[in-house]
Amino acid sequence: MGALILIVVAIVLIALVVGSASQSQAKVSGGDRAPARASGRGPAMRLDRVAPRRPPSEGEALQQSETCWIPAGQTVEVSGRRIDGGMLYVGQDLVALNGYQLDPALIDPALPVARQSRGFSAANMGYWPSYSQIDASARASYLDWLASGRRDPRADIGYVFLFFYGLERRALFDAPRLGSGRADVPSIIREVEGLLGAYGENASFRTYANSFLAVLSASYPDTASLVPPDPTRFSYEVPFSVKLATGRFVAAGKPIPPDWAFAWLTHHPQIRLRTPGTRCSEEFEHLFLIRYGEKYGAGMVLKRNKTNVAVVHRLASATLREPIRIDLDVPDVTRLTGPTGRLQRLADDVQKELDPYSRWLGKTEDRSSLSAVALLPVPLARERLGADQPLVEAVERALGDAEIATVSTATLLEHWPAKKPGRLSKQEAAMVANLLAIGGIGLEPDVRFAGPNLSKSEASVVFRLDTGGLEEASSPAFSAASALLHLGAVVATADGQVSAEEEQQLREQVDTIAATSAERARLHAKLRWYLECPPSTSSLKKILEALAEPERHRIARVLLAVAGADGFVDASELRSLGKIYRLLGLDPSALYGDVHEMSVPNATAPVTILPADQERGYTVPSPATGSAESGDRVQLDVERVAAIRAETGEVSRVLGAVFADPEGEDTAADDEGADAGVSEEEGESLHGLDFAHSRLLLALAERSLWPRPEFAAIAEEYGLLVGGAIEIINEAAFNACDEPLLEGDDPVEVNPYALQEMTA
Amino acid sequence: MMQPIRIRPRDREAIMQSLAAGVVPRRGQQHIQVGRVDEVRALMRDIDLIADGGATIRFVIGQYGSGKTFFLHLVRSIALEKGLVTMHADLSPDRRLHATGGQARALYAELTRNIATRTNPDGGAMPSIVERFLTVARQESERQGTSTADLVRSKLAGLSEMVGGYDFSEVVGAYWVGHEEGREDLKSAAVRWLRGEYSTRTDARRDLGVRTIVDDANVYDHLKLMARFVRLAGFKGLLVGLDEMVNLYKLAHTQARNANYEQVLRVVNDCLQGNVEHLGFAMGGTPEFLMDTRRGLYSYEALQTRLAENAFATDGLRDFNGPVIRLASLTPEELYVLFGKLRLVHAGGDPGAELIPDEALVAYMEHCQTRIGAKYFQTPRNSIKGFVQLLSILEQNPGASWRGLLGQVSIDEDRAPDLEPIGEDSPPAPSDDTLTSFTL
Repeated sequence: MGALILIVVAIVLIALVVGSASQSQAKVSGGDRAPARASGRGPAMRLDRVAPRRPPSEGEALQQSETCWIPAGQTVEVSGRRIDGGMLYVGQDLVALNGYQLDPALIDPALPVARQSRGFSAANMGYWPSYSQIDASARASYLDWLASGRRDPRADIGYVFLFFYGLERRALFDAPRLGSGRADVPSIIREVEGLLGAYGENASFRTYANSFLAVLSASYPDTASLVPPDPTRFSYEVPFSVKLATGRFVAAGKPIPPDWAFAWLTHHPQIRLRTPGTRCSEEFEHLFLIRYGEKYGAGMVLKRNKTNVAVVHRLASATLREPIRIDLDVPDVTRLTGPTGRLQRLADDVQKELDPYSRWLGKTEDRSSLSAVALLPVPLARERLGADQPLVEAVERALGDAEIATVSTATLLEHWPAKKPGRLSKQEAAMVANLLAIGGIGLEPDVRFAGPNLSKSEASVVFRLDTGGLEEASSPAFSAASALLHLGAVVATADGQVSAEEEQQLREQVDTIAATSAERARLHAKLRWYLECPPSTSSLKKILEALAEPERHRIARVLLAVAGADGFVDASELRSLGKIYRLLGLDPSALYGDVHEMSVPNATAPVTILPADQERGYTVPSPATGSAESGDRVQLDVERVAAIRAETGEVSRVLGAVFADPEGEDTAADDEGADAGVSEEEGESLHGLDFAHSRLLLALAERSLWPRPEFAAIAEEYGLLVGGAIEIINEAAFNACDEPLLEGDDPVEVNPYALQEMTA
Repeated sequence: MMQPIRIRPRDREAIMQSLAAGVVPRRGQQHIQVGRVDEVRALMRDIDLIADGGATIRFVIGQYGSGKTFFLHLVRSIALEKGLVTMHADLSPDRRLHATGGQARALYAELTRNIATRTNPDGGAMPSIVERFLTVARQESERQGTSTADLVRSKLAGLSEMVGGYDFSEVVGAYWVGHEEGREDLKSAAVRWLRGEYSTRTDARRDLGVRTIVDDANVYDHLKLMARFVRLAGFKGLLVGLDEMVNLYKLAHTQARNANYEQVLRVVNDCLQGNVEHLGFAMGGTPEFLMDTRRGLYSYEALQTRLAENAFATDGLRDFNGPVIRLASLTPEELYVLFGKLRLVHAGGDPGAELIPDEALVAYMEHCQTRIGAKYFQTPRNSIKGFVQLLSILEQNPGASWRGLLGQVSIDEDRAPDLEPIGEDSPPAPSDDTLTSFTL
C-alpha cells in the first residue's frame, strides 16, 4: 500500500518538474524571482523555483561564485541581521553545480525571512535543505544562528550543514580554480575544525566534516595540521589524519611515535576496548604510551605496504553529487592486520593491568586514596604516590642492605589502613603486595601469586625486586615449581628441623627451575616463607590436580631427594611423604619402593624434564631405569651394559676365589677350625685327616657303594660316627679338590675323582 | 665377549633345572651373579666376621623381583663354602619369630630342617653336625682315657648357663647314649628335639627325660645355642637366613606384629653390641617391610633409630656398613648381561658352544616386553624361565632357528603379591613366590 502511494506521488512530481521547467529557466536567467518565492510553500512551489535545464559551464559557475562569495572575516547584513566572519554565498544568482537548482548554500537576501525565528534549536527543514527552499521562519533561525557566531551548541545540525554546503563549494570547486578561492582554504579548514569542536558529537556531521578535512589536507598538504584526533570519538574508519601521519612515518622509514600509535589504536574500527580502556581512559592512555615505549622504543617500524591512502569525500551539499577522490603516494598502513593486532594485544595487556583499578573505580569512584593507588599498575602508581611511603620505608628499614628478610606481619600492617585492624581481605592483601611492588619490594605470601592471605601468617618475607616491580603473571611451570617448594618444605620440616642439606637441596631446585632472575627471587622468598611457616597441604590439592601425571611423579621424586638430602629418610618424613603421595594422587604404597629405588645406584643421575608448556626445563633425579624404550623396541644403554659386565667380571673373580680355590688360604684357615679332629701323633694322615678318618677313608676306597649299616660298622671299628665322619672327610675333600668324597645317605657313594685326589 | 669359565656339569644342571622351574638355584649362583660386587663383598666380610667370632645382622631390602632370595642363597653358598653352618627359612603366616600358637616353633623347625653344611648343602644336616661333634668328643676322650659321655657333658657345660642350655646338652648326651647302646629311637628322639619337633613337654620328658622343649618363647635362645654348638662341632659359625620378612609386616594384629619386631630388635641389639659370637643373620624383605611407618620396622621406634642408614648415595658412594643392604631393581641392561651369562652356563662355560647370538638376546627381551609390558625386567622370574626353556628347546632341536621358536615361548606376567594384612586366624596363604619355597 505504502509503495503504491509513493509511486503515485513520484509520477505527479515528475509531471510537475517537466511542466515547470521552461518557466523556471526563464525566471532565473531573467533575474526576476522575489514575489513568486515569497509565498512559496510545499514541494510544487519549490520545484517551480529551481532546476535549470543544464549545468552551468565552469566559467559561468566560477563567475557566479566570485560574485556571491563573502570572504572570511567580512561582515554582511541580511534581513536585518549582522553576520560576522563571512564565508557565505550571498546574492541572487548561484546555480548549483549540477545545474538543476539554485545552490543550496546561497543566501538570497531578497527571499522572505520571518520577523521572529522560532530559535535555531528546532529542526524545521527537510533532509537536504536549501536556503531558497526552506520556509521563512527556518531562514530566520538560520540567519540568527549565523549571526550568533556559528558555535551555539543548541543549534539544529541542519543549519550547520546549510552553512557547511557553502564551505564545500568554495573549497572543493572554487579553490582549485581560482586564486582567491585557494587563499580561503586555510580559514575554511579552521572553520570546519571549529565546527567539529562544537558539533562533532553529531556522527553524520563528523563524518562529512572529517572526510572534507581529509580531502583538504590531501589537496593542500601544507595547510593540513596533523594532530592526532580526539581519542574518545568513535569513527567508522580510520581518520584520514591518522592514515596520513602513520603512512608518512612508514614511507620515511621512521618509527610510528606513541601518540600516533595510540590514535591508530583508538580510531581503528576493528579494535575494541574493554571497560578499563574507556572507564579509566586517561590511565589507559598513559599506561599504553609507557608500555608501547617499553616494547617498541621510539615506536613500531613497519615495512611499506602496497595499498596507498585514498581519500574520498561525498559532498554533504546537493550541489555536486560526484564524490571527490584523491589518491596519495602514502601507504595506508592502518589496513595492515599484523600491526593492528599487535596494538590490540598491547591494549589488551594494558587493560588487564588496569582491571583491578577499573573495577575499584566502578565500585567506589575513588581515584586517589591509598587503596585506589595500590591497585594501579606500578608506573602509574609511582607517579601518583611520590617517594615517601611509610609502609615501604618500614620494609626498607627491615631489609637494610640485605636482599631478603623476614619480618613480622604485624609490623607491616601497622602502616596499612585496613578496614578491620589486623585482618585483610584478599583484595587488600593484593593491594599491600602491590604497594610494596611499587616501592620495588616483593612480598611473600602474595595472593597475586597463589599465596595465602598475608594477614593469616605470622611472618612475611620481603625481598628486593630487580624488575622495577613488573612481574609476569604466574605460568603453569611457576605454579608447579611453587607447589614443589611447598611440598618440599612440608617434607623438610616433617622431622621438626630443617637440615642445611635439605634446605640446600630445595635451593638448588629453585635455581634449576627458575627461568628468570625475577622468578628465582620470588621462589627463594617463597621457599623461605614455607620453611618459616610450614603451611598445610590442603591448599595444594587444586594445583596438584591440574598437573599431568608424569609431572606429579617428577615432583614426588624431587621430594624424595629432599627428604633424603640429610642422608636418611626417617619415619616422620615418610609419614609426610605418604600424605603427599595421596595428595599427588599417587599410590601411597608405592612410596617405599620409590624411596628404595632412590637410595640405590643408578638413581642419582639428573635428567632434564620439560613441563607441559615446554618452555623451560628443570632437573630432578631420574628413575632407576637407565634405558629408554620406545614401543616394542628394546634400546640398551651400551655404556651401562659395559659397566655391568665389568662389575660382573669383578664379582665373578671375588666369588671364584671362594668357590673354586681348593688350596691356599682356605685350607690354611681350615686347620684352625678342624683341629679338634686332627691327630698329629698317629702317623699316616691324608690331607689333614686324622689317623682314624684316614684309615676309614682307605677302607671305604675298596668299594664305590656302601649301604649305610655296613658303613656304620666300619666307622665304629675306627671309633667314628657315620654323620660326623662323612662331614670331616668331605670337608677335607672339598679343601683338596673342591668336591665331596662321600655322597648320598644310604647307600653312601664314593666319588672316584675325589678319592683319587685324596689318596694320590 | 664372555670368557670361558669352568663349570661343573652338576652346577649347570642345578642352575638350568631350578631356573626352568622358576626357582632360585641352590648351587652355582656364582656363575650367574650379575653385578652387585659391593653387596657381595659386604656380605663376605660379614661371613669372615662370623668365622672370626663376631656377630652380624643384615637386612637385604629390595622390591619384588629384585633378587633378594637369589642374593640370600648366594650368601648362604658362600657361608657354606667358608665352613659355616647355615639355616634358612621363609617367614609365613605360620612361621614367625614370635607367636603363641606354635608358629615360632614352626619357624625353628623349618630352620633346622634346612640346616646345611658344605657336605649337606641341601639341608637336613642336623644328625651330621651332632655326630661330628660326638666323633670329635669320642676321639678326644679315647686319647684322654676318659668316658665319652663325661667329655660330652664337660664340653657342653658352657651351654648350660644359657637359656635352655642344660636340656640342650642333655639331649646331645642322649644321642650319644643312643649311639652307644644302638638305640635308634633315642637318637631320632634327640634329633627331633633339636629340630624343635616336640610339641609337648610331656612327650619330651617321656622320650628324653628333659623338662623343656623348643617352644614359641625360646626360639632365638635356641638359635644362639645352635651357634655355640656348631663351633664345638668344628664349624666356624652359624648364618641364619630369614626370607619373606614382609610376612611380619602383613600381620594385622598390632601386638602380634610388635612382639615379632621385639624379637627382631633383640637380634639387632645382640648382633650390633656383640653379645653373641659366631652368629650372623640375613633377613630379606621389601621396602615397605622396612620403611612403612605404620606397619614396617620403622613403626617400631627402637628399630627405626637403630636402622638409621645413609640411605642416599652421595657422589656415587654408598655405605655398606649399616645393617641395611639395598638391592636395586634390575634394569634391561642387567637382564641382558644375565641372559648372556645363562647362555654361557648352558653352553657349559664354552663361549664357542653358545646356541644363540647376542641379537637373539635383544629379540627375546623385545618378545618379553610385548608379552608382559615395559616393566618386564623388574620382575624377571618368568622372563628368565622362558629364556632357559628357549635354550632347552634349541638344544633338543639342533636344526631349529631361534627366530622361529621365539614366538612360541609363552611368558606370563609376574605380579607382586599384595601386601594386605593377614589376620591372626586367616588360613595360610599359599606362597606364590615359588622362587623361595622349597622343602626337603
